[in-house]
Amino acid sequence: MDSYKLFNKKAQGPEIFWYIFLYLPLTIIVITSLVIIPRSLMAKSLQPVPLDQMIQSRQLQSQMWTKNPVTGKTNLMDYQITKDLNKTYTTKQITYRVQLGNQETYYNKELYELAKPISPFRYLPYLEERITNQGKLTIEEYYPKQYAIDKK
Amino acid sequence: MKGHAKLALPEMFTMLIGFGIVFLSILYSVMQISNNEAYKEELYIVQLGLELQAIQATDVNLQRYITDAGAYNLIFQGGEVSIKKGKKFYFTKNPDNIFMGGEYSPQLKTKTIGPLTIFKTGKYIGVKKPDEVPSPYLTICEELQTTAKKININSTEETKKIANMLKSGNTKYTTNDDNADISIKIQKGPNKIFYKPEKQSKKLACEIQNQLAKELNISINIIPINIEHLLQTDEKNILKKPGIIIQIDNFENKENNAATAINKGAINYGLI
Repeated sequence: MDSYKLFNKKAQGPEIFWYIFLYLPLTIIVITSLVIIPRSLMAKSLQPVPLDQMIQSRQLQSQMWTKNPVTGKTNLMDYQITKDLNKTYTTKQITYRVQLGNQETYYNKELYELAKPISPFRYLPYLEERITNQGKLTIEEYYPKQYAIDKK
Repeated sequence: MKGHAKLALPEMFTMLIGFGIVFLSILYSVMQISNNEAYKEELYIVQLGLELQAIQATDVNLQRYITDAGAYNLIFQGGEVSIKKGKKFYFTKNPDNIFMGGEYSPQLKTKTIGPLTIFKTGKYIGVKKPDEVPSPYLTICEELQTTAKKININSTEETKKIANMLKSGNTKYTTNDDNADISIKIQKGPNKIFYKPEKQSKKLACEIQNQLAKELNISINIIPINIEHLLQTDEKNILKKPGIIIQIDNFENKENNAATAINKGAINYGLI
């Protein structure tokens, strides 16, 4: 007779209460989480910032190449700080410093001064140095770890 | 004991079912990772955005043909690549470049966007349908304040029609006028523009080169001429004064386009 205890009306009341109001919703929550969390984690697992920083550095270097004024041919070995080097069109929150010899220029200097001391905790640093005919070229970039919009 | 065993069976069964569901859910989630739409969208947008950045890191013209851009609603505008009501990627752009974007949605028949081209040509970068991509032969002309009130036009028998088209009703184009600011000679030959190696002539050559590339879709190189090394009889000696020599290979039935291109190039140069 004990095996039928579950279906005994007297015992059924509190057990069904726990099943309906605790175990069943809990199971639904756990299963839903198991499906949703990995998905959102996967979407966030993509970290393009370091690659973006490297491409930005190449972009800056291409702006610095000099051109033969007569033939128009690009000289990939000679660099110069161009007047538009401190201008980049983006809504992304980024900052960089370019130094060639004794000359230097910044994009978003305010953020640079804020980001440099607290990197690599909140901002990802990127540093590239190379020796050129015009002296040492340094490109330093700081991006937030997760992309952010520049509200300016 | 017998009673206890009988009582435990339904509970074990419930637990097994529960664990089974949980295990299968985890398995399902793991298997779905590669098909995760959010991940796919994120990856796709980031890839497109970074490609747009990467093509700006060169000084050559580039094109990347995407066979099928997929079943997304893609928007390229204002420094961002986005999927409508979805992911966004903000790309950076050099201040010198002009961006050409647009909105692309799946077509009714194929239910996908179809082919797209990511390009860099001259100062233009962007994403367009293959038939809307600007000529791949454009170059970047130097920013130079230039003005010209009169341009001398010289031609040969073969190119007379083009010269006449330019001169008809337009007094800015003359012949053998000593007061002209610069000269253009048009002749038949392999596609090239020769110019006197100085800034004014180079600017005019570059502007006309771009317009000819657009109008006739031809690759035409611009070449500086060292006049000191020319023979006395060489017809390029006209480049002792500021000017250019335009050589076009095949312009039959395209005289109108050639004249339009030269005129547009001259206006961009600063013909007032």
